[in-house]
Amino acid sequence: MIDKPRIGYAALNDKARLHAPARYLPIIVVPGNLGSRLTDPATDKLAWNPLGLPLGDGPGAFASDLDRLTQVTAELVPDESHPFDDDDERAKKVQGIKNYYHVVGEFYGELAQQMATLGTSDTKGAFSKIKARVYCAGYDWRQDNAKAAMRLAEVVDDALRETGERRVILIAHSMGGLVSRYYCRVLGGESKVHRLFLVGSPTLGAPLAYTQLKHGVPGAYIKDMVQDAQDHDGAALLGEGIQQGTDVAQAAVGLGHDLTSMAPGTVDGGKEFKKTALGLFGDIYTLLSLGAGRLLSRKETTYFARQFPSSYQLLPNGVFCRDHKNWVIFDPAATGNVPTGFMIILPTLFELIAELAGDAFKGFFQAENAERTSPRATRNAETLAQRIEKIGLALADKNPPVAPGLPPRTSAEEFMLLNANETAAFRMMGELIQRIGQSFIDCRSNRQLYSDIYTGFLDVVELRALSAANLAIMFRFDESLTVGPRPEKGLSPLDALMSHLLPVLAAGPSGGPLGLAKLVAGKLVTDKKKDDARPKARTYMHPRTVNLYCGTEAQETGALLIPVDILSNDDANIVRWMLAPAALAMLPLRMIPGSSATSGPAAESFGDGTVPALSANPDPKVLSSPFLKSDPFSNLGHVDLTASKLVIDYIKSELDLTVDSFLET
Amino acid sequence: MTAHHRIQLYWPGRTDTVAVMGRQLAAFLAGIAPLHPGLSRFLCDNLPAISPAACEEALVRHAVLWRTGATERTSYQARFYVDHKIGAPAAFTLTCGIEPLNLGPIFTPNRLEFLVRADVGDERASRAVLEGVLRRAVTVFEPDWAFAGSAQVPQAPKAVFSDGAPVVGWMTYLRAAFPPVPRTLPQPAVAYPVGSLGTLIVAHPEVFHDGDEAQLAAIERVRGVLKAHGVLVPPSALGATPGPAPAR
Repeated sequence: MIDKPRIGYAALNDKARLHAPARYLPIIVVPGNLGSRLTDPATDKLAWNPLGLPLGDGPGAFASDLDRLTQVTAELVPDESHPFDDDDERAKKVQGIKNYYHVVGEFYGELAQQMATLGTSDTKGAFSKIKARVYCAGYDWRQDNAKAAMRLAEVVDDALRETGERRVILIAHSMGGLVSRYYCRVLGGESKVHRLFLVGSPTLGAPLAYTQLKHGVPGAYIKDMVQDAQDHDGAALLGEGIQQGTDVAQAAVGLGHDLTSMAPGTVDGGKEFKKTALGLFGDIYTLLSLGAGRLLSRKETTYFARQFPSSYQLLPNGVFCRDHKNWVIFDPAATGNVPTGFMIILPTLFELIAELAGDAFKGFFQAENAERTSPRATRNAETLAQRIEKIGLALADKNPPVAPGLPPRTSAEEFMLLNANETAAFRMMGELIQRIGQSFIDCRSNRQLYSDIYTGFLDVVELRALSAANLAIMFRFDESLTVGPRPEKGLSPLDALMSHLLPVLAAGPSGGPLGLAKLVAGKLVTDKKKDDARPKARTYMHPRTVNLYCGTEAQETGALLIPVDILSNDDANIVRWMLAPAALAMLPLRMIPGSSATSGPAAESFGDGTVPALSANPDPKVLSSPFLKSDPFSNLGHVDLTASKLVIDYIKSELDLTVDSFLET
Repeated sequence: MTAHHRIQLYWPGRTDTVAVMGRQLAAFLAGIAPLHPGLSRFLCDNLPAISPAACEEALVRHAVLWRTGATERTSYQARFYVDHKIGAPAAFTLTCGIEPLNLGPIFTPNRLEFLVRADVGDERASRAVLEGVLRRAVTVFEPDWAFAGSAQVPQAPKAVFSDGAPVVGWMTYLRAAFPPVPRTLPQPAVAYPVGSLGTLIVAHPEVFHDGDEAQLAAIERVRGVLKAHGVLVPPSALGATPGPAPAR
């Protein structure tokens, strides 16, 4: 930490005078996955500039060098040598922003530029006393985030040295939040950070990361469809393509693989294509294809995603998996264990059951909610459906409703005599499970899961080794951000399923199989309470974190936009601030400085006197906000968050409140 | 607060030669010069851009080389300004030479961004001149759509996550291929034809300032009506796009 007196001296006409030196608020923008422009230091060629000309207005020409990007062991560096060479107005605007060209301007430019105006053109309120100085902290987003955090540490130290201040403000987007939290937690950055803003940051991991590692980056794999159509049932596969909204696929089937032959499609098709392509990587599939000059196969993009340690670090972490038992824990050490757990992408079962009585039930199964179906997933789902039905029979067998004066009936007979509606309810449940298996990604043992991620490409030895190494890196990284006891392993598939299903049934009507299920559910709920009483692992958060994210399209975008229902207990300090409808939520998470939880258990200090208790924020503020006026996020995607005027204005107002406490440091 | 008035045009990929683009640019400059003396001396790298040859040279100097796969491509992005490069009272950036790419969800149009400082203190910031610039730009470049507003409002579409559907601003131009604009627009919006090329919708009669709630509301009403009538569709859904515009 820089220990600098807050009084300066100036010499004028040989007389020394006291004066207060100008104060600066160092603001560091930490981009997310794919958010840094990258150059190959060996050749000085741009390897990643996805919104360079002509695709966007970013500096330099478009670059997406797939071959170079997949050489992970050879590091790339944030680009500094390919900015525009003119000095137009934009250049003037950004000249005070250090390393502006490290980041993809289209995503982070507006945020950085707006922050740079604080205390200069915008001198209202607290910013009449201080000027912002903005730094961009680009990094090689393919590498272990721990490496990126080390790079961030350098930027922070530079900023402190240049401004003479003691603390910085970090504004991190998406994966940049993981980098920042690692920097704070492991690299001793906590005492140097005055506020940490997390914007759409996957603090608990992103289920979509699994999708990507398993199935490749989201996109329309026309090349695969063409091949599959030739090999198998062309009509069915084409149907899948249409279902995915890829009328581009329709156009391209039979037209060959040349990217430029892709027809733009109809209006609805275009929108659907866009929706399909959105996700962790957004339009990355198209950008990669463009760089490669041809359409890529699913295998190629899966290979691409599995190369990078950072992809694994985005997987749902231990805390997430512990609290959501239908997620297995991605623990490489567990690969030798017997299968314990199964997997359904959230949000699924719980929500689904809860919606059974409502109209939403129908909409849930519509095509746009469909994920990819694998034969194994279908089989597993069928098995689960049969198990559910057997349970119903068994329950009926235990409590046969025998009419007085009549001989006992067999359980089968009894079951047949059940109220038609109740039987239908069971059937529906069975169907439900099956549909879930088809609607979402996978339903499988975790042995198979590990096998898929670990050794998904059995014919590529190097990749298998690399995947194993990357999982190990992920595990260490996750551990370093986890506080408290390590999460335990998952439940058996049936237990996991029932832990979600039966509590809902328990709240259901009495009588018949549903009523009987209620009894069993009661026991499981009791078990769950016991489980809840055990010490929990938590996810490390900087004590002065402001977390901004919205859950607009959770099912489509994954947990990068974390939907409300997958927040762990660790995030008990979250102020749940729901917009209506609930699916459109902006959830500010704030840990107020100095709000130590004195009543909580003794815990390690965060280094500045605050203590990370389960709820570090006993006095949460609910934002009164213009956001509530309307539905501002209906068109806001993950990458749009940082360019959103609403989000930027919110950060500005939060900083305005922060300045006084900053000036006291 | 409005710092700049902005006019923005979008047109799809074309296979024009740089000579053709130079002629178009010269025609545009010649077209806007009579509107105001302060729009008659545009420079590019401190060199006057007047003749087609000078415009062509300016574009060539600002060529951007890039590639898709193994295919080498060239586009152009040049900035023109009056009086001085930094903080110019009026300036525009032309991005052109982009071929038809049809990249689905990625929006890669040729485009023109024209900025006039709001504090310029003369008629250049008037509705008459701004509308004149927009009309002449539309006549020369024959865009799919265009809008006028401030530097912040409306937000321009991004390269990714945009299907290229028109953005509605203070003034909005739509070429004739779009579904017809409703005859009655919410007051005080008015629609005018631009020759036979398309329609210009002016949402509010006064020069736009993005802090003016009444103007923002007027724009929003126009947007709502156009959306309800299915006018705001991506150009890709409109069928054939116009060919290279002849120099005028």
